[in-house]
Amino acid sequence: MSLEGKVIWITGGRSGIGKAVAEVCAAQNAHVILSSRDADALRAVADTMPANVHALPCDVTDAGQVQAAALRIAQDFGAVDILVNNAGSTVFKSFIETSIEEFDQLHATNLRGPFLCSKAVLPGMLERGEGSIVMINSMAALNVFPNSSVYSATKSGLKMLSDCVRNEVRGSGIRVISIFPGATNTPIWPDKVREKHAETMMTPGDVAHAVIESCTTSSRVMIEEISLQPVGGAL
Amino acid sequence: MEFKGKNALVTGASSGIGREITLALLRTGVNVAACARSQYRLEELRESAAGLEGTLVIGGVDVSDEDQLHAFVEKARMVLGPLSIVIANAGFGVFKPLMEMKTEEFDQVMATNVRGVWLTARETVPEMVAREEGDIVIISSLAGKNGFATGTAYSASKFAVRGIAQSLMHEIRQHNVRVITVFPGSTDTRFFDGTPMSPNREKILTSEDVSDVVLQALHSPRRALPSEIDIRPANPK
Repeated sequence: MSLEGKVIWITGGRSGIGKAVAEVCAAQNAHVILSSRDADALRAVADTMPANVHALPCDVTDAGQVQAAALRIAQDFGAVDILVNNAGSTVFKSFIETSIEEFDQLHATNLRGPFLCSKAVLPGMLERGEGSIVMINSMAALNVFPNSSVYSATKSGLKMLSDCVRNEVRGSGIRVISIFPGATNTPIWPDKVREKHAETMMTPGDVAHAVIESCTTSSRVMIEEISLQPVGGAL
Repeated sequence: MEFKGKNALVTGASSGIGREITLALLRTGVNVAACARSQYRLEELRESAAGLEGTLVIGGVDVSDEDQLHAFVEKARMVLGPLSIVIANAGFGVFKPLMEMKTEEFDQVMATNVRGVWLTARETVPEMVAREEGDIVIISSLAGKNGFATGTAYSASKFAVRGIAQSLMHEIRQHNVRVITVFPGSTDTRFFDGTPMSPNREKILTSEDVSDVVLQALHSPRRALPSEIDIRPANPK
């Protein structure tokens, strides 16, 4: 399946995996809509990319903004063919140190965000009988890592949300794809960690490769989950 | 990764998923040592592979038989050279309620699906680790993540394979050898012949579908290890 002419909405698209997916999609002549909370930074990034990449600022935790963004995409580009729920955040803190505000914020971005964005595009996909929703999850949903209790909880929650949605829409032609990357060299990590483990970590492009492959397999096939880990070992 | 000229071992190569992967590898210029129990169907495979770019070596092997497997791997190395792609695909199923299943049937499923995969890995991994290059793809099944009625032997064997794969990955990933486990849902192979299961063949995966995913995984950037891939038909029955 080709991505040419497809409408692809990527959240958290300003950097890291989201930006890498956008680059590949843009090179394949898709209409790419990048969202991020920080409008100025987002536009600055989009300006460096090909003309078929469009900046659409949106806070995925805000139901009104998500609804407005979805409407805008429908008006300007048409129905969303592929939604990449990539926006995510974390704090590297022990359970004791994690504040209530941080708990709420991680849940809002990592769980409420994909919930709202998927809800905004799924009815249209069901009507057309096609479409892909990609969840950029994390190995933290499957394995225990230190100082990640809330992040892991949101990501394993996202896995179950994805599994249930997939189950509900099975047979309708819609694919719900979960990608579980291990350590990837993106701004979600502190600079020190990125410098120390740059050789081991996967690049955003490595993960983007898996995202694109899973969206472009034959329409007979649904790649439901891919665990993707740095070959050199966990950090 | 440039595939041309590399050497692969495929078990259970005479039919279904193993056959498709063998042909797909040969088309990309990979040389394949293909084994299976059925010599007759291996000859059919040889006919289908005529004219493809890679070299094909065939051998009648029961993967649960250590001596047979060892001899074939040695032969493959002698004829082709070092192996850097291993597809542990041979699988066997008996689907009956526990109360009707014979001990011999349970043992047979375990011998092929667990012992066979373990032996295949042990025969091939040392060389890949020494050369710091290689991929071993294990074809499991979604039955390796979910139990189902009549699956007390088959499902158990595929759960066990996941344990082998996860442990092996931790042992050898730092040597640039990737352990990739694929968990396909129902696939249209000879597998269901002679069993009471009769999936709607138009709405299940084809061997080509699974082979495509395996080839994609082998082609993925080397830094990334797709350790587990779950696939199902997009429009199941």
